[in-house]
Amino acid sequence: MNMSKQSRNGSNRSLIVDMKGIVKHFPGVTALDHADFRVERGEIHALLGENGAGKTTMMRILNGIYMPDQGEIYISGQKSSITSPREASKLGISMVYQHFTLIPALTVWENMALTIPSPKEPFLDMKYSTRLLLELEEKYGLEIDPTAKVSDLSAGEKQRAEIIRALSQGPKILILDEPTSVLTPIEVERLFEVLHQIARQGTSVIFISHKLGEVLEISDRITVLKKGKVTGNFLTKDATREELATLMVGRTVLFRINRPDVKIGDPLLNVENLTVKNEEGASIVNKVSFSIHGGEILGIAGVSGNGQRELAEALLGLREAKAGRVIICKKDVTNLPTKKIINAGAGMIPEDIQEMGIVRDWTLRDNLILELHSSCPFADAGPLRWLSIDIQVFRNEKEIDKFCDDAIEKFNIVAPNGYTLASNLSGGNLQRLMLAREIMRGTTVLIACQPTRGLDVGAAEYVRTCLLKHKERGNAILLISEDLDELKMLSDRIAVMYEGEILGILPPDTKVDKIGLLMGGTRDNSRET
Amino acid sequence: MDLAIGLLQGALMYTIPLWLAAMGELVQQRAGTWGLGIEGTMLMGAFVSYFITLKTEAILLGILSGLLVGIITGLFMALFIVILGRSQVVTGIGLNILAAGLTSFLFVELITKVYNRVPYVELMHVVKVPLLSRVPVLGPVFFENCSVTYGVFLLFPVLGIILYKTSFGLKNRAVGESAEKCNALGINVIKTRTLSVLFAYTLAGLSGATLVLGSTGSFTHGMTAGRGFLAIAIVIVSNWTLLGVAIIGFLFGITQSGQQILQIFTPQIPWQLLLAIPYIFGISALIVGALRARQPSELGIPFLRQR
Repeated sequence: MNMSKQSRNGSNRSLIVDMKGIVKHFPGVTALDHADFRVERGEIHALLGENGAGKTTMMRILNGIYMPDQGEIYISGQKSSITSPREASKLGISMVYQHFTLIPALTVWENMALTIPSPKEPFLDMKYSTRLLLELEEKYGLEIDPTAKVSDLSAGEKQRAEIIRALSQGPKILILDEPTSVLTPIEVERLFEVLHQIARQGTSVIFISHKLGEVLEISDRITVLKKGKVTGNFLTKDATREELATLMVGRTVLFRINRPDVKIGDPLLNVENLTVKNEEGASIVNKVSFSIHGGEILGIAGVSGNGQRELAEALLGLREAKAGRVIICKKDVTNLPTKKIINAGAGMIPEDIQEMGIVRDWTLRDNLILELHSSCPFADAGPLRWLSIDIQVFRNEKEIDKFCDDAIEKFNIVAPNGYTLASNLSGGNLQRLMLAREIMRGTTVLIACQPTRGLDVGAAEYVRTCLLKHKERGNAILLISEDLDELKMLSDRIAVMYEGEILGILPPDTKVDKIGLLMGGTRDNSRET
Repeated sequence: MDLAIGLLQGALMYTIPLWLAAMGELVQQRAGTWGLGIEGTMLMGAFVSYFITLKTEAILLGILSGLLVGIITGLFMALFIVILGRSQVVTGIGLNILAAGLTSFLFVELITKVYNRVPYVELMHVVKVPLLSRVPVLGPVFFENCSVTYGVFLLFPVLGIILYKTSFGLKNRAVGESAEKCNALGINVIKTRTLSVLFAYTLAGLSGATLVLGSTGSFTHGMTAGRGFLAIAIVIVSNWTLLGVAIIGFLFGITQSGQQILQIFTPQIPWQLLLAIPYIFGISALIVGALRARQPSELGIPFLRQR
């Protein structure tokens, strides 16, 4: 047999990508541990794994951003040393990242012109670049205005522009890093059609994801990574969800969380005709009304950018409500200062924890008491109490330590101690910090915004379990999420938000395509509340 | 009419060095770095061009030496702020302090102590454009100038084409908005920024030379009197656009020329107050302009390559 001869002399010729024995170290962690990765021509290959498993690192090596410490890479059978994204581009490798790479201050066509020189070099040719763009859009079915400034585009449009940019080089290998996070179900379907089209034309597609459903739907073959090692590699038709999840996480993962029946209490949050306007005077939240009772989770479905964030901010007094009312626990809190709204029982886990939820330069313990820092028991009269003065001015470090230890234990926050800086905590641990803070201080109306975004299966499961337990204690939760599966799993009712309006409130077992239609703006005739 | 001509001619004379410095600074800032040392570079360019012209009696060498001062300074600044990514504020201001001390010291040692006076040097020759220089008012103002001035007039459209219509200019602008992203696209951020810094300081050196060889014919301590910073203010108030630089720059010239005329015609107003007018205008313009202006997104943020 010639098998061993093949591996000694180089690489199997039908493979377009052959990465052998890749090792990559970063300070303190081994991101990739002798991982192999092979992609055939014209195949859609999914790279599946939790956050931190090494998928992005592997692809960054392929795209020339990192250099492997050990291992070999063969592109189309040729041994290659990919030292920069430009080198990768020359080899026919193109990558669409999770974060946006287009320059916001420039227009779409100018961004194109940066990488594709016009025939009138060194001069720019707007007509040429625009025509190129339109041709690509036509070919792959993606729509963008070439003359629009990137900073003016919506998240979904930015995504499309990114993909067009990657396709513009006519790559042999297209890498997509979690591309569906800002697309509606309809757009995801369209993207998949596009990917199939691309693959049929001979370009291989590498699809990085942690979403099992999508991976099973779109790919021909799947490679599973766990903590830097490849734990599985098979044809998609031979794989099952459960098997994949186990390979990703290493233990059996619950897909259906048990939702015990909970007694519904009084309405804790009433929103009546809430309207919020943006700088130009348009309504980004338009006459939204709903109510959440104690023991209930109301999910808000919708693609990012349809007013969900502004709704959450208005509820907490971070944004002005131009009309309508917000009532928490029977108290009208519309447009009250945020502190009063928090004291009325509201709390939020924001979308962007690093930006809005914590102070990065502070310690874990200081962040944990962030909303309660000036009240009992964390602040008291200190030495003044000998004078019988009762004010909350001095910090009570003992109480803070107690609270911190309690939180770390109950919520499994992984940190050496309470003095760890928040900036050193991982995404998953920051989520736990937020959960601990909001849940332990007894928030009755909790607004959770994309609470499991970017988390791996294990961490996400934990967050969802926490939310359910919180609900079981009789609290109300407003769950804003782009993850339909999550919404269906956790919500008692699902409201769909589109362009600032609630188009419908549906039971959680409604079919995905119906919810997807509403998410995309198709108004439903039968509205149920 | 003569008054109008006088006003405009005076304005142009004041504006030319400002325009040069501001154009260079514009390019540098669009690429993402603050060029705070152009004041000092202007001063050094002025002194060196004065000295060289005095010694060689060749105006051309004076101009070239001003350029050379700019290039050398630019190389140093590029090393510190682009390649090493050090503080743009500290290096710029440090350069200004160095220039002030150095030029004053050399001026005393090499000129006043040697000549016991400040000898004048020949100014650049004025060239009249045939026909056009006979147009009333605008003729004598715009078409009776030295070659460097004509060069500056040409530089505006040329720079405009380069900055807005070429891929080189696009890269220059892109790198000041998102250096990381440009790097990911394979653009050499360091090279682009270095070139922009070199351009800015070279022009600043030339600007200093025109101060001496275009209007005064001599040198004095601290001759630039804050013009370098005025140029930076022009860039900001113009919202980082070339057209804005042209207009605002000329407006500054008018205020300066205007106050000089006022000094003669309204001696009742204390000249010290009149002297302050251009700077008051500058501050007010900054306040108004900076409110609406949007600066290049990564202006001031050094680009440090990590692998």
